Amino acid sequence: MSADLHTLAGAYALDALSPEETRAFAEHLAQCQPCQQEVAELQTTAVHLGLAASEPPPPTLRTTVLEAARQTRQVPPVPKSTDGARRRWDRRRLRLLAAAAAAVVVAGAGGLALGQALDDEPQPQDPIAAVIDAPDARADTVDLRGGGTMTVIRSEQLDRAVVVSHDLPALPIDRTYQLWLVDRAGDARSAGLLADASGTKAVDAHLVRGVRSGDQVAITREPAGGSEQPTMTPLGVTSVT
Amino acid sequence: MAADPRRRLHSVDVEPDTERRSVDRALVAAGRGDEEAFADVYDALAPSVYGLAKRVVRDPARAEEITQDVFLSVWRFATRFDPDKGSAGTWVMTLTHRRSVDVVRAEEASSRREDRVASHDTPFDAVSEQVTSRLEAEPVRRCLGALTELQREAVTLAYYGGYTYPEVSTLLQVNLSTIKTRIRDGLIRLRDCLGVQP
Repeated sequence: MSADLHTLAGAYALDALSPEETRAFAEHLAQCQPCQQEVAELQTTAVHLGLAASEPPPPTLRTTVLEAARQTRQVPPVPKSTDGARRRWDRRRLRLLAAAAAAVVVAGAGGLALGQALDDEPQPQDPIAAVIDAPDARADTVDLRGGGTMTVIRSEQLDRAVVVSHDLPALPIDRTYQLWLVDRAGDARSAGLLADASGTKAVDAHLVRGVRSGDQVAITREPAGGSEQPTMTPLGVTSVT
Repeated sequence: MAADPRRRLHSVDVEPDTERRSVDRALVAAGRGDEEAFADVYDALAPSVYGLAKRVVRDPARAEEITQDVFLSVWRFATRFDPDKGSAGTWVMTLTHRRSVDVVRAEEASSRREDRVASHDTPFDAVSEQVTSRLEAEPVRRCLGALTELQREAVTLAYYGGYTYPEVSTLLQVNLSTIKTRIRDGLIRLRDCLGVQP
């Protein structure tokens, strides 16, 4: 690690880097064992600072949190292995789902002929079918707060995901649905606006590139044109790892 | 699977062993859907979460929202919590700081924050002074006191103030590379003073 990068370890441990620097530093860290040790220790040191600021929350918050948890589905545990038959069944279902979105996809994402994927072998040049047909493709569906569902089909090999939304409530003209990749540390980076950003189509599909291990996909409502960072608690989060 | 550097912090202990184990055990049980165990996790960690969020965002209502967000994430992801990789407390507090910082930066992405940094009508030393005197944990106060003034100001403005290091540099009118170095040196001294073990 260069001397200059190394001095960022402290600021990184305090979440005091810009998002760009955080990413650059994190990528470097992934390949630098000694740096990982130092950052781990400095982050734990920072946690001590946090614990020192303890203060009792209002008692009513306890009820609110526990009630919200009671109504919130937990993410599935990390899957141990993939069952072949189940995977095939999933893929067939996913093809149907993606095909249902085809009309939108053709218009929105560069003329993908997804409709063919139902009857024909997947086209290698079709990026959405490629994700669905990847040997390691996995899917998760989540009900969204406020209505609709989001299904994420993810291939770790391809570093890509297909996000299919269903029945999203229509938004005012100045609002849009925006997708996010959220890493384990809670860092969000935009994964683009839905092709049908105001949610007036019943089904919409969106290809997301650059998905990293451990990333989750979240969806929020944002001002038209999208935001740099989410401005609200996500309507839903799926985890496909 | 590529290594996620932030996961590494789970390999370091924060709390005393017995307390840590009981919270970790409760979180594992919560991961199996046990709501009472989740309530135990809340009771153990909510003051730390709320206190830190409030310190950073300086707004009780926003701090409550962050606390709720954090604990909902904890509930959702409890299924994947692995105590062998680190303590519940470290995970939750790291998440809390990240969320809190995101909130202040999103809210102040407008000119308001630039004004705040440019003018900083609150003298920086008063900010860190206040933070230091209100700390409840004696070792942390003692160890912060052992830092140089610049190290202490840089670390506390970044951590409790939620400022990026370039903003800290502006506030303290000290150049960027010096601030980077002081933050790191200060944290290393804190680490050694607090006896944080690998």
